[in-house]
Amino acid sequence: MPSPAEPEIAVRRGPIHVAAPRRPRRYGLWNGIPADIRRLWTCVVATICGLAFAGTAVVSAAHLRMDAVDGIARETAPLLGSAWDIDASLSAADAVAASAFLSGSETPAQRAGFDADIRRAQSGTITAARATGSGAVSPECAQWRADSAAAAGSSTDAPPTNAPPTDAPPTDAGAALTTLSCQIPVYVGLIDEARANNRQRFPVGAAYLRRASSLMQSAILPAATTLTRTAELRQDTAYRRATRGGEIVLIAVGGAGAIVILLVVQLALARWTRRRLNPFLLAGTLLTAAALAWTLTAFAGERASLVRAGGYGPAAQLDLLRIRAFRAESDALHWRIAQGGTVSYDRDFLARRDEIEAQAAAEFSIPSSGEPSAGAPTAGNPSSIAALARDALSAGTTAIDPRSPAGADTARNAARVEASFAALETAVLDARARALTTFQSTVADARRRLAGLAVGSAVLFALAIASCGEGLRRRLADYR
Amino acid sequence: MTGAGRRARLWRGALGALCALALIVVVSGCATVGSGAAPVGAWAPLATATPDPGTTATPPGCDDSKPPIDDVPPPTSRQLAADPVLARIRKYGKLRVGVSRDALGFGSWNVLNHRFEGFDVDVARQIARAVFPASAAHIDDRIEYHPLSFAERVGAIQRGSVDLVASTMTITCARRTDVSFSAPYYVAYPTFLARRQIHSLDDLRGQTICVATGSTTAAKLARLRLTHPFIPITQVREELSDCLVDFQDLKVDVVAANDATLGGMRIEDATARLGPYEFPPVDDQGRTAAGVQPEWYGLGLNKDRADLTFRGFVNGVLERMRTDGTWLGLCREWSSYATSCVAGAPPPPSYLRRSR
Repeated sequence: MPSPAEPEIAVRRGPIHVAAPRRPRRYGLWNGIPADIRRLWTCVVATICGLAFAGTAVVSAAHLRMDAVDGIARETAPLLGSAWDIDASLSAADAVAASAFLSGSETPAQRAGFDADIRRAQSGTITAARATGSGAVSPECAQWRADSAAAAGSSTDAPPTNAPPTDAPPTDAGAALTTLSCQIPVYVGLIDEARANNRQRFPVGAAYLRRASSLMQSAILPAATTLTRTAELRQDTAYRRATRGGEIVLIAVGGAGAIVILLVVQLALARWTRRRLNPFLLAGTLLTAAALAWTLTAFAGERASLVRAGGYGPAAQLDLLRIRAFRAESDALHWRIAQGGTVSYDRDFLARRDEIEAQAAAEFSIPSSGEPSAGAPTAGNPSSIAALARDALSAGTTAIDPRSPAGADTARNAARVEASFAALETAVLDARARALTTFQSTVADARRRLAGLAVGSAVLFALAIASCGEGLRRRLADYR
Repeated sequence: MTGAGRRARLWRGALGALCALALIVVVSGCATVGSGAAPVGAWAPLATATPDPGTTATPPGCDDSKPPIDDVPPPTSRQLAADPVLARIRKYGKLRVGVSRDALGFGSWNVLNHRFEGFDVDVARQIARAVFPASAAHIDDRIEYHPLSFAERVGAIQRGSVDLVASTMTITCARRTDVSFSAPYYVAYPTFLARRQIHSLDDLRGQTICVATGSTTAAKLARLRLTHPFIPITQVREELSDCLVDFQDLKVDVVAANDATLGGMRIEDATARLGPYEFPPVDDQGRTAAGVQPEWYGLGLNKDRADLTFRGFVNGVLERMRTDGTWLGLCREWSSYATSCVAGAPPPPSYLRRSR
């Protein structure tokens, strides 16, 4: 179709002007191309660039999402699980050591439980060190201990304290791992000394146990908690990466831009060529829309999967309940050993009791005192966990009653505390296993929703580009 | 409608649809979510209380180097019948006794038979038998044991959380300003536990010493440092058994206390040597005198005037034990651990009722 912007054609067609004013000649390949063809080429470039941009955005976002979800499945969730396990295993080991002391002669089950807890904590430390990329698993502990002692100023005329000369609780994951890898063997050594002395009825055994527990409470457990907090932050970051909105906005904007370009080109072609429809361009537009719809649907589904059932929340709540329960148990048993003393095990137990009661009321529908338990305790049932928690706390409260007599009752109280907290632990572990299974299935579901998205959308966009290119090529061919 | 109008409407519709799509996407799916993990609370370290060991300065005119002379005599049966303290204890049903938890041979927890045992504990059981004669066969059911560190003893008596303390508690002039004591029931001598024998204070040069907070030995060493500044104290621990842990961990070279408690520790650590140096009398200026300074163990009691009859009652039980051979029997029972039945034998009581 002739264009009014082209002077030579206008001169030829114009009846009056024989010679139009001569424009300065412009040289160059682009200027040598007819205007219609130039416009068509502009459409080609805009269409392909728009689609390429949108396609790249979609494929990149899909890759990033997949990486984030993979990170949750393969790195942060196992790290968080390990961190909680370290915390819980160490708390359990301390409680078992106290229980064995109170029972007089350590049973094989108690020893096996203690050894298993320590092994779990140590292997968890190695796992965490690998996951965090920390090289602090086998440091020069002797040098580290010397530095710590120097930093703590445990020298001449130190103030009276029950705590051994250890450093302050670590504040980062590397330092926490160093503390764990260096101090867990020290703790085990102190417990071994306590055992050896207890077998000979030597009261210094209780002093070794006290020192071991002090080391656990003042240095090792805070380090484990630091590690858990670090793992939680990583998990949270991974979750935010896997659900962040920036990518969705980028895809929506890029996709909308591409579709607008395609619509504009379609309309322009209809206007310029008087062909109402370019089927290839329409196919490209539909392919683009399909790719966008798939991507947005997959992202929405992935996000819904990740937040379904509270994400890691239920498992974390159970982990938190576990370590609070272990600490409460340990407090009650250590109070029973000291039966008073300067270390306020009773106050700490009461603080943990309040925390557990508040958590159980909020998360596990704990019945208020005086109400009957919600049916027979069944493993993993939330109301059962609440009832078991109440039983365990009741046993602990009895154990720290200063009016309860020493003597055989001490062993009986300890046995009751141990049994009730063991029942709670069993129920919590069962519920935790199910919560973890649910969590893993949600992550797997999220991965499944993203599976093939990057490749599939790349193929769709490639087809769209090819289709649009073909449609435009045909229009260009019309001018030849 | 013209073609241009239709196109404009089409454009507006397309743009509107895109905007709506973008809005839906942003509102419904863009909000990032956290992992939902429970926030880990920071573990508060276990709180420790620093007990007040009580007065440490010797009041003027009082001499710790001489045996106590103002013991309350045993009451008459009429006085006993009217004693409110005994009535209160019997009404409560239990005698509340402060004991040591780590002095092998005097007061410690036996992990195998789940009971407190030792010479001090047996003395307390004798008192309980006298308070509850009908329950003599199961006397442990009538005793509420309160394990106390050295520094906790005075505070426990003052607060009234125990009726008496039987825990290697030396009768000193300083402590008598805060609490009261029974007649002496054992005589101990402050000395050292080390890896090699200590023959004089000069042997302490370059050594690191551990003492228990609130012990008379800690106070004596502090006074000795005034005239013997080379004597170091590197560890002050809440419990004496913590000193033994430091000793076995090679963190300290010497543990200072009375021979009664250190004797039990020597059994706990076969590599340790006890004494033979024993502390001389030391005055407030750190000046030493010739000879050795005995320390008289008494049962710690409330200083209230209302408790005077109970003090006399306790003294009566102790005197009966001393004279009827019960004391010697108990001492021999524990002599393989720590007690010395010759040097540790208490002097006859010196009753002198004072108007307080």
